[in-house]
Amino acid sequence: MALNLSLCPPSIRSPQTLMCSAKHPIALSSSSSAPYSKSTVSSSRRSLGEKRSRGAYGATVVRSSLDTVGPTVKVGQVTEVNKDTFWPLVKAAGDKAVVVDMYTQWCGPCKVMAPKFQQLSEKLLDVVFLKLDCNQENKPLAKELGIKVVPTFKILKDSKIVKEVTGAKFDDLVLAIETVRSS
Amino acid sequence: MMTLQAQASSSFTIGISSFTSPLGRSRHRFVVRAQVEPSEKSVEIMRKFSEQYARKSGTYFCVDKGVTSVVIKGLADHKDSLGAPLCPCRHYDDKPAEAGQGFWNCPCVPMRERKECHCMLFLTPDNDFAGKEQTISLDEIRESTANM
Repeated sequence: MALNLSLCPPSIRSPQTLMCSAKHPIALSSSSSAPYSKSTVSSSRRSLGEKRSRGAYGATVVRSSLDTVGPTVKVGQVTEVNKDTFWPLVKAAGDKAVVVDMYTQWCGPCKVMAPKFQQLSEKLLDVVFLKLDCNQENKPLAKELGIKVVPTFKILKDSKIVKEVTGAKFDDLVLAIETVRSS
Repeated sequence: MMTLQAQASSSFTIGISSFTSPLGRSRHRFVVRAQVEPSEKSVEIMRKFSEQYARKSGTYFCVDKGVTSVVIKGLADHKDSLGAPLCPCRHYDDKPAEAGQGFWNCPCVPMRERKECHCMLFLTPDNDFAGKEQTISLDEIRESTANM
């Protein structure tokens, strides 16, 4: 069960989700599948009725003041990150411990660890759980964090790496997280 | 066996999985995440190799054949892209160089010297995760990796 800490929409998959938009957009066309596009709040209010009566076109986005806040971290679940969303999310975690599962697509032990990692995230609600696919796209970040063995779990506190667990060692991982969590 | 797929050494199929949110509130109208699959030819080659090498080394596949399947596909994927089955459970700065160098080409040096396979592909009988089998069929591989 995920616990949302803010009003921001859930998707962290794409790099563009650094922008938080209001959960209930003020201007929403009746046929839109994606409720976001660029318009100001005041003009969309005024044009709302017009848009609807005209039979609505496309998607509308309301950029509210929440846009400037930045990403919010989710607890109670594992959030997929990439080279663009990782550091902002780590920063947004504040003083909470952050653990990131660095995996690759075709690594067997990673598949063994994934469900256990997920369950752990649902249990430890004061720790932020992230996962990073160490593919070609995210290579710069993987290099920055440092990884040889896959999977590798890095634990961060205050945006600094404080512990690392290499390999699919669940008990070692739990111990490491507990150590950082209580420090 | 009829196959619709080209048998070029660098061929691959792309499985498209849709990641739109259940409520349809995704920012993108249709989110596509392409998952590159290794060629069937390479999967078959690495499947045969794995069976053969398990027999030769006296090691066994994981109780969870899904793990075995994923690793075999990982080896096949590297064979397609690099010409050599580089270990899929390691991260490399320069993959072509590593493939040329050979330390991590399956069977890697740690496996050959000490029967250490951290991919959990070849497991010594005393390993908690070792099953009793040294065989795996193409169907088993297909089925256990179908949702990827």
